Amino acid sequence: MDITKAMEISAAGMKAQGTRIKVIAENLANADSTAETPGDLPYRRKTVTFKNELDRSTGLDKVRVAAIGVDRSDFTRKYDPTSPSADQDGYVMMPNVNAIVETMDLQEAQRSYDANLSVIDAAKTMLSRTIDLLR
Amino acid sequence: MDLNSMGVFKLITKKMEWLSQRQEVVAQNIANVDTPKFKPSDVSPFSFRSAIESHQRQLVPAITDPAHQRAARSGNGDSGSVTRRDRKPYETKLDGNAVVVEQQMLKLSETAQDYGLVTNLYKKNVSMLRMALGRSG
Repeated sequence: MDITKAMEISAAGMKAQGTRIKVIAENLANADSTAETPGDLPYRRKTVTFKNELDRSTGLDKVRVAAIGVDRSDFTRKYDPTSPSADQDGYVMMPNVNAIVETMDLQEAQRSYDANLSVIDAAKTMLSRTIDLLR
Repeated sequence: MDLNSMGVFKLITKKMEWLSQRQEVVAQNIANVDTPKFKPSDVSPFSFRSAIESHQRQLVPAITDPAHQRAARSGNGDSGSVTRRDRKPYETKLDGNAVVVEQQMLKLSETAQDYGLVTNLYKKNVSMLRMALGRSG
């Protein structure tokens, strides 16, 4: 039935957005995760990409997380000579996480999640209207 | 009593099938709002003419031998509409995604409203039949 299919597709979309929020949380939590020793690299920001793929068990095209990749952009340097990971000049490599970018991404994920939820809501209303025909 | 032998019920059922098909397509578009290179689709419009024609002017071959196969009838099951990719998307993001959430939300509420309208029509017609049967509708 098409309406329940719509609900399944939206649920898959919500799940994908949920994974995205999880990755954003990981990035934000690790915004200050520097390396333990001077030579090592700090935490690298993770990214999420989505993909629309056929789910063979239901025969529906469902969105899912294609890959959790890493952001290859440069690390920032911060002057902190007391840190154990500071180099000879007293600079520490900081993760390439930008809190503003992450917050914006989080907002977007939240809105997409809401949009999927609205679809489920509308589908639910349609379904209950159909059931109401029996009354 | 088979309600589907009456034109109005048949038409209402068709419209409901079309609306639920569209709901699925819109759900697909909204779920893929962040999928790179995804282009939204829509169901071809529901037209009264084709809905009427598809079951009235269709000739079904008679089965005269048990070995004959039953011809597939488009009147059963689906609404006969096709899902097409949007040819001219309103705007495309940098990652190639062309879904405009506002547009899709509009389609979503439109579909839900129409569904409400059609189910109400169904109810009213059934209560009219009940009235004709002598029970209070």
